[in-house]
Amino acid sequence: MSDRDDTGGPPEISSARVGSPAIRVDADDKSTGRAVYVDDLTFPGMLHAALVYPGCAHARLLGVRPDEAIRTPGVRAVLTAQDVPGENQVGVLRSYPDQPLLPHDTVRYSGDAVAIVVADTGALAREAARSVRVDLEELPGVFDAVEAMEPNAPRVHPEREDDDDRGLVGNVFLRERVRKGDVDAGFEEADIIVERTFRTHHQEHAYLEPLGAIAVPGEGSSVTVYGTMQCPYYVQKAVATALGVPLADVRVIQTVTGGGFGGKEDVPSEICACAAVAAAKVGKPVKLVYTREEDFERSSKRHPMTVTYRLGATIDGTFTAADIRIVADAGAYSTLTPIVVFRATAHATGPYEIPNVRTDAYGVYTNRQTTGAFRGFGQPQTIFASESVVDEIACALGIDPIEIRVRNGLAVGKRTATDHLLDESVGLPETLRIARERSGWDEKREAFAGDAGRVRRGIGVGAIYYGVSLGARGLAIDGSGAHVEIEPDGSVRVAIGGTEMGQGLHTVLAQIVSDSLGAPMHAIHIGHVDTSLVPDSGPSVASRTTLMSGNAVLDAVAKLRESMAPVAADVLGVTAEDVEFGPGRVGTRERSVTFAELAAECHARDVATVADGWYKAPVTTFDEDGQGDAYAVYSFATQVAEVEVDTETGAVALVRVTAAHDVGKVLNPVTLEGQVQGGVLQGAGMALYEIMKTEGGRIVTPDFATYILPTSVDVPEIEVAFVEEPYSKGPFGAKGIGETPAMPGAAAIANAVSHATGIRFRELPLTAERVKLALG
Amino acid sequence: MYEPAWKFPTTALEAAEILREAAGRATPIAGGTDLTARLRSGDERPEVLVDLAGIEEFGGVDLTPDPDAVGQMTMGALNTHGALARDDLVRQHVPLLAEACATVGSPQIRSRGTVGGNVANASPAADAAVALLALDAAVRVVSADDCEGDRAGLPLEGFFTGPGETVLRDDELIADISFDCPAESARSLYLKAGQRKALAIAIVSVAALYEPEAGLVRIALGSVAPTAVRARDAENLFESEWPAGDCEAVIDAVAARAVGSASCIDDVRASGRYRRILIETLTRSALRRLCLDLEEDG
Ligand SMILES: Cc1cc2nc3c(=O)[nH]c(=O)nc-3n(C[C@H](O)[C@H](O)[C@H](O)COP(=O)(O)OP(=O)(O)OC[C@H]3O[C@@H](n4cnc5c(N)ncnc54)[C@H](O)[C@@H]3O)c2cc1C
Repeated sequence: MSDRDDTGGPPEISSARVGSPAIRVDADDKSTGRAVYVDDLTFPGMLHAALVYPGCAHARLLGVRPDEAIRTPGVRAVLTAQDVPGENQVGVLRSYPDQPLLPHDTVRYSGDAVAIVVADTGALAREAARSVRVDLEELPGVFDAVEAMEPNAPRVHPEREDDDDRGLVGNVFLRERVRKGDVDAGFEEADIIVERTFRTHHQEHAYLEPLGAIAVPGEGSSVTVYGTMQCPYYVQKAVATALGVPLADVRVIQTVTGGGFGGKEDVPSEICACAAVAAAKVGKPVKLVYTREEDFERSSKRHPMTVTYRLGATIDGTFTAADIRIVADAGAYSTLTPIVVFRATAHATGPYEIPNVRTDAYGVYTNRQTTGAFRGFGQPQTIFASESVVDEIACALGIDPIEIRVRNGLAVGKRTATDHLLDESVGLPETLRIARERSGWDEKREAFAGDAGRVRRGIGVGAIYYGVSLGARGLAIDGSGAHVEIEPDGSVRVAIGGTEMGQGLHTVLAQIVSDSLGAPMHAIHIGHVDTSLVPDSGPSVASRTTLMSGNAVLDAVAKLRESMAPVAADVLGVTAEDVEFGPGRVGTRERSVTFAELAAECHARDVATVADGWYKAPVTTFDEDGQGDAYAVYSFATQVAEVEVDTETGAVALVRVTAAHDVGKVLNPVTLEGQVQGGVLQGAGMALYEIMKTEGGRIVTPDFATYILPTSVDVPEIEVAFVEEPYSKGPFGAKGIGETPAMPGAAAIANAVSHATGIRFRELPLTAERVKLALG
Repeated sequence: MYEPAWKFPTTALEAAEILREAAGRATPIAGGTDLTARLRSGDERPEVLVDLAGIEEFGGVDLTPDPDAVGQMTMGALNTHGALARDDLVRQHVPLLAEACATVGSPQIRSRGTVGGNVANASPAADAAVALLALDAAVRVVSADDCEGDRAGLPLEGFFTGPGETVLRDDELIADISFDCPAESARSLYLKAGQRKALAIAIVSVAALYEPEAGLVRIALGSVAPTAVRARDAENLFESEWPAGDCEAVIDAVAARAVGSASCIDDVRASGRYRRILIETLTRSALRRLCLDLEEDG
């Protein structure tokens, strides 16, 4: 079903209504190879950059000797920390100024590049970069967050002063907490208490397109930066900071982006600022594109977490208290850890009403790759812990695991761990019901328990909730803009601040514009973000973009309708109040004009056909004790996983996943299903395969031959079901979907493996080796 | 910048002469699936690449019938894994090899990677090589001095001298690989444990072949030592004990003995400890299925 018309003329009715399976607006370009990614772009006189790596994970940087590289024909410049004209800081959170763009005295992880080489070609630049001599005095490193908390651990940032009052000592640079009710009294009431410690590991985003940037110097001190990214406004600030120029001098244009998953939230700021600093130095366009191995070295990962989870329940399975301790490995710099840890802390109980909660979380420096945003944003790790313990309690009490979740699960009228009273759009109970029914849970749970052969089957569940958008720690950047312009021929130009990174944003926004403005789908042209067109709209993260950009677009459309309705009314001889926009036409049931005719008429009459839109997220709160309406609204999901464990080799095959997701409103069922399928696979990767192995802080699995991702052959049968509990402030009732599909999977799979084997696994991933050694 | 010269010989002699002349500065390339990775990383930088693709005499699969015994099969070095996995002769007479080739990499890799490259590359994990080792295959080597191939029957066992190392000299090429087809009644299995279902290098692989009439098994192991190895002690134990007594106990003992032929290490894919467990369980499982017709069910 296509909304395109090959004859070029607008079909009479071709508005793709919200909720319809409209074909992706970028489908043709991406499937034919016409889409232009950053590495496809070139500019006159463009030079190429490569980075110089230290070769170890922790060292005093004594000097960089580029003499040999500079003498190489074709090499134009070698830049070090001294060559950063502005402030040598690149971290996204200004309150944690701990990350230099180029380190000047200390190297803190193996990807901490110390110099930039600029040359005529990329290959030359890379070869010359290898010939740059880096004088280092190696220091003992610390590669594990729990070890980094020991008093004698090597300090990653010795320049930081301890703050004993706030418990920020040594490598601990961050604490978050939740205090609700009386935890000790809650455990007194409990008939059963289970306490366990869980560990998760680094996970790579593994987007198809590695990081890349091109900086093109312009007039005066201005620069235009092109790159693959999720957050052009972060890049704009980082480049302005590094160059020491006003924000207005920096224009950032997002190129077609081949996946992000959080890995292109703050990290592109580094590569873009490096390219910009180099371009400013040589006065020519400079391209910097990472190889896959470099991307592994330089990009952020999912935080490894050590989570100790203590849960109390009465004999009937009612939870009475939770006591949770989270240690998050931030890597060498704080980057987004404060926001990730905030989210992990706020949601640490999982989607349950528990009257007494104590959560303490720590962000800890180590000499490893920085960790930051990754689909789920700190939650999949704590969910693995909470959902495992919930399962264990259920089994100990002889209560069905789904039943115990229903009994304690959030619903309208219940309160979250931050004491947020939920008053609308809580689809958890329905996702639990649907997942149970569609997966055949009851029969399989019983049938699989009888397996005794070589292959043992198991079925397990994971349930989650996810605060949509940035919540209380992201207030200053939680607004989004849109700019909508209608041309005389009825084509519509839409500029937004949110990024398309493969998730299908442009398609659903085109549907929203089409549905609300009455313009046919093919007339709507949505561009990638250009920071000169739309004001700072915050990041495209946290499942906020459809919600935020969608509402901003709707705000602009409402203004356009207001100015266009009287024109339509006049032409048609009806009253303006009766004019309806869409689908495909504007007017009343009896009399209507095409959208193109109306656009022409508006232009002829000099009526404004341009409008800006803005949407600001509702106010959220999170006080010192972690109490408040931490997020405006939550998405909910339940996934049921079925596995087969080969007891001979220990290999776990993921056979089937039933994924039930409350999304508020389905805007496009096909792109939505795609989101869920991809997320399920990322959850499976975290649960079963992916592990970033290191030696002395250096990655020894820096490519797809050694870092094991699930392949198409490992894809289980995936059944996706949607629950629509509309959110009153969402576009057409929609909430976010980006993150939730990747969240419950690891927990559900681990619970299924436990059902199959009778063994509880508390460290991921469940590789064949780990399972086999446990089976004995 | 690295830019090797490419040569495109069309006969074995021509290729061999290029190699002799280059005296170590040239490297043959077949499918390129192993070599390209090393060129990219800079681990290998030959001045000349000798592309074997145009050498017709390095292709083909032939079965020479022998009225008194099983036939001899000869396969040119340039046969790809995909072609062998699909080849009717191979599937009929040596399903072990077809199965092993079918587990190599992905469809793309199987349609480029060659059996000659798999053997010459001498990875201890090379799937086709492990199966060929169990088949008692021999390698025909040619060089400019010896194009008829005096070194015609180099047994594969002994051909590998270490990871990535063989007895091949710089100026020698693998022309083809041959072996006697197993008896009609023979049964075989290729079991491979990897880190995922496809596109997986073996953590351990076991090629097992059972010849009921002779009362023999042949067992080759991959990824358990510096080279692919035969588990000779285990084979001998089987020969001396089978089928007297408790068959299952014999199989258990043979599987345990197979571990002795390995010298497992910890690497990026798995620990030596897990490998040793896998050798025993996979060998046991294979032999139970082959010799007792038992699925491993308990
Ligand atoms: C993604 C990926 C997955 C893989 N998975 C597997 C797997 O699962 N199992 C497996 O066994 N292998 C695997 N491999 C390795 C590889 O595909 C095989 O070893 C393949 O058979 C190599 O053959 P080729 O023709 O590509 O060799 P090439 O790369 O062309 O050559 C390899 C080496 O052999 C030499 N050589 C090639 N032909 C000859 C000849 N006729 N005479 C003398 N020397 C010769 C070359 O000089 C070179 O040193 C994988 C490789 C990749 C890239």
